[in-house]
Amino acid sequence: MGYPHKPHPKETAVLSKHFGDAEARSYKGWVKRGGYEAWKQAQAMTPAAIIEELKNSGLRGRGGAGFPTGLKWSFMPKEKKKPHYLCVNADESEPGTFKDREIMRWTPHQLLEGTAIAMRAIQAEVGYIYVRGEFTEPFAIMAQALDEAYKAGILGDLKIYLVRGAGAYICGEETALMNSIEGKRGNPRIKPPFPAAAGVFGLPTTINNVETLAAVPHILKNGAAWYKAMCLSNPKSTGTKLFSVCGQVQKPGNYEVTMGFPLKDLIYGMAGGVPRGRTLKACIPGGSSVPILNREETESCLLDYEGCVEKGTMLGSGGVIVFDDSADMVYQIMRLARFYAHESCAQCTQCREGTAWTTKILQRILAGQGKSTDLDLLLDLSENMTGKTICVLSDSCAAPVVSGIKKFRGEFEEYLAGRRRPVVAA
Amino acid sequence: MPTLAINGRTLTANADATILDAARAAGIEIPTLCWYPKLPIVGNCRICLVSVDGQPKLLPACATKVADGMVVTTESHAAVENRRGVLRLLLERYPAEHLRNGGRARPRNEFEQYVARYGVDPTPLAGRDLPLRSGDERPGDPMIRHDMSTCILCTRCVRACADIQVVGVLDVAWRGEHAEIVVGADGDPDKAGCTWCGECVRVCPTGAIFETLPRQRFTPAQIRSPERVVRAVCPYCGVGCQVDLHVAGGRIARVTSPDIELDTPNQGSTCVKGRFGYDFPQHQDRLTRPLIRKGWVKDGGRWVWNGGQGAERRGGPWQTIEAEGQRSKPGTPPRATGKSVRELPLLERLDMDIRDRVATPPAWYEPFREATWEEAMELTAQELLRIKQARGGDALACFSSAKCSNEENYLLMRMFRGGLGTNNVDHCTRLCHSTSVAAMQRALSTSAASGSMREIEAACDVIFIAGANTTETHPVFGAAIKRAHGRGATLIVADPRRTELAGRADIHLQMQPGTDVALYSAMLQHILAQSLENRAFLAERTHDFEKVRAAVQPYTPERAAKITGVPADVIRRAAETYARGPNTSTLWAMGLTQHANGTDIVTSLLNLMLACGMIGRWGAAMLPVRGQNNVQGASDVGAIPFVYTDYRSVKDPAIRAEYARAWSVPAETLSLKEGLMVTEVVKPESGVRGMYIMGENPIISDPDIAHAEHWFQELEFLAVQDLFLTETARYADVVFPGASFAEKTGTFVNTERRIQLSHRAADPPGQARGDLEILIELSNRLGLPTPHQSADEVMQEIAQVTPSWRGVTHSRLEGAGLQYPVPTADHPGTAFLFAERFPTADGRARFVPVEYTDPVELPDETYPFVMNTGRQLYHWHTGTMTRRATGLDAREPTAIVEIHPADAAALGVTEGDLVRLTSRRNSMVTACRISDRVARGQVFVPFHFREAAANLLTNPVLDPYAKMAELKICAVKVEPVHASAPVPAD
Ligand SMILES: Cc1cc2nc3c(=O)[nH]c(=O)nc-3n(C[C@H](O)[C@H](O)[C@H](O)COP(=O)(O)O)c2cc1C
Ligand code: SF4
Ligand code: SF4
Ligand code: SF4
Ligand code: FES
Repeated sequence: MGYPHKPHPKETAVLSKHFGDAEARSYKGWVKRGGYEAWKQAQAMTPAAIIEELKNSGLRGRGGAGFPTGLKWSFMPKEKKKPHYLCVNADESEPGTFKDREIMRWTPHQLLEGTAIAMRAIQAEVGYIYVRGEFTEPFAIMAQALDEAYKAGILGDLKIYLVRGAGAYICGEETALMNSIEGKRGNPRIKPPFPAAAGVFGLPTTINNVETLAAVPHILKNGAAWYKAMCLSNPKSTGTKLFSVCGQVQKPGNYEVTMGFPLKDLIYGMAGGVPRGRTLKACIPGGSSVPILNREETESCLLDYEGCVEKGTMLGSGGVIVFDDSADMVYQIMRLARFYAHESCAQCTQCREGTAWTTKILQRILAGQGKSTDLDLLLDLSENMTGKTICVLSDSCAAPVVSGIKKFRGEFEEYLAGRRRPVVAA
Repeated sequence: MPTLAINGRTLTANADATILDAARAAGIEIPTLCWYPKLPIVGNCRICLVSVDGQPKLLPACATKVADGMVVTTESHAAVENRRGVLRLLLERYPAEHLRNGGRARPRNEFEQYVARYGVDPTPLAGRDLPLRSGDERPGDPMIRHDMSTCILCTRCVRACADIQVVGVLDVAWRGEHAEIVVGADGDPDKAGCTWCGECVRVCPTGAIFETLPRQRFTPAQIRSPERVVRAVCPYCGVGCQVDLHVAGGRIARVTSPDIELDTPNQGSTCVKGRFGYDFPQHQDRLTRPLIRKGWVKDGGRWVWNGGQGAERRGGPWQTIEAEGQRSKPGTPPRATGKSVRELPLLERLDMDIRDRVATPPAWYEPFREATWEEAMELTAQELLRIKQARGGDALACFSSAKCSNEENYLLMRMFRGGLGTNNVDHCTRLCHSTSVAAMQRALSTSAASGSMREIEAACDVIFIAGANTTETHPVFGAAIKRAHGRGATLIVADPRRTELAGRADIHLQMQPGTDVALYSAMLQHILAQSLENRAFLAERTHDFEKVRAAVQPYTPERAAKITGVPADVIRRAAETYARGPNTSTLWAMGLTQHANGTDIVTSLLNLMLACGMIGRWGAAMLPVRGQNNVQGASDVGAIPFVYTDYRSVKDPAIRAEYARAWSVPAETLSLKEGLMVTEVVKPESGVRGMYIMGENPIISDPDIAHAEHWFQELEFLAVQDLFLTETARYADVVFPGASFAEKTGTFVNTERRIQLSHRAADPPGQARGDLEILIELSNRLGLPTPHQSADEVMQEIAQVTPSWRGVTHSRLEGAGLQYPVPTADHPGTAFLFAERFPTADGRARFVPVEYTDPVELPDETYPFVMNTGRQLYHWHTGTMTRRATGLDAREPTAIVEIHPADAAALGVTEGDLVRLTSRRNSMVTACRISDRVARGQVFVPFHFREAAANLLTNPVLDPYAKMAELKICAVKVEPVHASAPVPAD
């Protein structure tokens, strides 16, 4: 990805305000733009007061699950008996999502500042920023920023470490990420215990997404009320959100809009719509793990947590994947399934075997060798893979399959009936 | 306690119980695959999911804690559908043919049972979408193989290896459908540190990991449904693991370990010897008929010797151990040098029946003829009585056996004391913990461990291990120590070698061999300097401390550093850690005891322990780790020259009277004179002319073998009772074929005073008899009334004459056994001793000051190396059993000397090269194993191997109190054996 686009007039650029502004990367440049003021403010506040402010802002986790951030922080033991940790989830590997990457590339100090504030709020002395292994450039930028921040002495005695992932999607799952930091195989852990009770190294831990933390300094600086006021639809979804738009659109990229913004306007207005001569067929609004929307649903969906649920999908991480009428949905769904089959950590029976089997069946269908019972088998497998495993990777594989068969059954049946030319070798 | 409802039944459960615990306690079965007792819960198989009211998702029963008011349905529609789904997914990649023939010889395939219970049909082969599962296979392994097509990736094996045995050989590699169980990084179990304990075999629910031997020797039906499954005690080390012997066709088909019982010493684990060392009883070498040396003939109703005289009297067509030591021999096999299984497709070890190589050579039988029991008994009784009449009872001696049961040891000592009137009764404790016993008697009037092995894991903060290579010699206990260390206990190891535990230890005191007194004295000196001693304990529970305080003053850490080679501040750190505890346990074994000043060495350790008050509390245990599986029991029942059972002195006429009454003999028949010890007997001046040896092999285990071997040849009469024609038995006049551990019922005492019952599983081969039976008949023939019919009856007599065993009966020992003292019939046994007083006259412990002296033999220019001897993981003692156990011998088939890489380089030798070791007494040829476990200037020689017997070289100088030999230290020189100067082949 090259430089970001010019801000679109309908965007609300809070986090992305300085994207493209190379000077904002440096410590000095960041301070010049008002950086670290919120951190100074936070240092004068009690942890409880910071958490209260966050609760009032309505900020919810941007990593996918949308859990209220202030509430999550409040789960940490009030009375500190053991060391506390903060983990920053910068493993961003969800297909279609590339917002955290841009935050780190352009505004590394924005993330560091949010990290410092969060550490104060949860009384952590150590913070780990776990950066996706493939993010070599963002990693280098973060490393330099961290260096500068320490040299400037702004972080006090907080210990912040950068950790590099090694190329496993599953390590973005919060407990797998902790195992990975500990040097273990990146398998998600059973919960409970939740991280606030026993996280990294078995000690109380909070984990937040990059975008979540990047929003924190703005909230402290401008006040919870300011943040909360940014809301176009449901009051439970507040603030701004970065959406990574990709797929068959004319202007892919990250767009920051206020919660409740219509998906239609994002796709057609900001991203320039599907290529000329094409029509929109489907969209996955929240990264590859959420159910697919058809055209009608896409065009009527409002982009906030509740708006997506209303359409039977989820806001997820905000990776908007757009398909036009040239897309082969069976093929696209197979590719998603194949991704999950490849990334399954292989602990849970349903996930290890289910993702692989689902992929095999989809490939068979695409090869023109599907059986009449295959769609039922797929739905059956997906049912088996939903809600039964340690983490939700298994569900994530099932979601596009189930919604895809429901909404684009005709395409599957064409393969099964031999009316479409096989596209993959058996 | 929360109350919950499961399937409509209201139950209460502990707050930390899981739904699974609560259900199983109430007899409600929930299927599980990845869950296993004692393993960390990972909840990955997802078969145990159950419905809980108010929860949107099914919850894993194995990982979900109960809560008050919870309503659980274990077989709800959703739960059952999920289970069938899980099974179907697993079956998709599982060989369907397995289900048809009953799961290929797997008696208990948990997975297939669930498949049947939930009525799931496997996809027909033709319709398979996914390939069978695979994984590392251990090709050609003689003990453990894998058939990974039946692996269901429950990861029990991974966790058992990592969390129970704390080894970590197995892991899951790759992701998604490619995930598989791998052995180390490259498939080579050797490189990955596998110890072949078979814990993975034990926990595998499908038999994907299985034992090799049963499938080679028994039919699937025999394995699936054995004739009997009998609980026994492992015949090897002092941990005393309980094992189940599966019997098919009158032979042991396989060994499994009992399910978790909280109090058994092993809680389901075993080491490689316990699980795979069980086939020696079926070895072709087993003696099946009594043997009499040719030359004995019956003339006029009496047996007379009319064979050769002099050297020929006991000669035979064999080489002496000394001569065998000189022979050339195979170097170490390639596996020890770090090859990769994947690189060299392994030697198919199974077809090469290594056992025959060490089998008794046929020529050894030549001087003997097969005899009837009547002949053998008659001759033995005649000769023992003749020597007694001619020279007095003290011209006779017996070696009892730490491998035999309490009942057998008791009867043998009863026979010698009651029937032959001598106290010349001893066994290999002399070469084991005799110095510990002497030191503990002196200080505490006790002869056994004060605590229990499970304390170490449960309650101990600091573990101090001196001269004990626990992970090899007591592996199941070693694993518990590693678990305790992992849990946070501090580990301090004092050992000249970098053993596995030393490598893991927080502090390794790697001292020069034999400098222990200086080390422990310096630790105590520092503790006193820091005022870290336990004043209250010293004042209330001990006396004579001032003498020790004065004695340790000169041993500053600096001075000790010079003597021991351990830096002074490491000594200080160890001392402070030891003293601060709060609960420090003190463990030691042969590294301390097998010295000519062993009693002093143990005393100095006891002084340290007592000064810090580290005894008499749960978690602060004194644990001399006993070697053989019944070395404790053999001593307890009086198979030592000074005492009857319960360590009651033979010198006391009142005690004598008691035993005389119990044995129905006049009191005067019992000698008031203390007998000779093993190391005193085997000396020309001992006056012993006739011997009875039960289950010991002194010609390999005694120091300075060449002299010992000569001594045995000079005897007037020698009877040996054993399983095989051992190196000692070949000099016998009469050899009685005895029974192996699997062929008898009897009791054994483990290292924590636990008396356990081992049951008879099979019959002795041919005409071989139970050892108890042999002793009963012989006792009667010697004129000692011995009406006993069974081990149970013998135990009744033992209980009657042994105050601390008075409450013991065989029926009470079923299950986990009892830790003595068990003074009454309803006493529950004693997990730890000395909470309030010591068994000394005044109840207080005595301090005995000791001084450091140099080891008897120090290295010099001619003999520059210090040789240490000891045991290996795969072998046992003189190798009589383990070298005839297929799997074990395949692991360590050859004699070796461990030598430091730098020393090896200086000598110009590499792995497998032959070297000649020479001490002041003798020399022998053996192969090099390069290892940095030994320090520079030291070599380690295991003493299991006849062909390169370590004891040819050892120094027979004795400890003044316990008559222990200096087995751990002698000075040797090491010379390469060059091809140009070959040693004679054979
Ligand atoms: C399979 C899987 C992958 C995930 N990957 C990421 C990721 O790459 N980045 C991320 O921020 N959260 C990821 N998550 C979500 C995290 O588990 C977690 O919810 C998040 O880091 C919490 O931060 P938040 O509360 O700030 O959103 C993933 C979750 C799952 C189940
Ligand atoms: S659902 Fe899949 S990725 Fe998640 S823990 Fe289970 S096997 Fe691993
Ligand atoms: S080998 Fe056995 S124990 Fe190990 S994962 Fe496979 S099925 Fe489980
Ligand atoms: S630890 Fe000892 S008793 Fe247990 S199986 Fe091994 S040798 Fe036998
Ligand atoms: S037994 Fe509970 S998940 Fe495997």
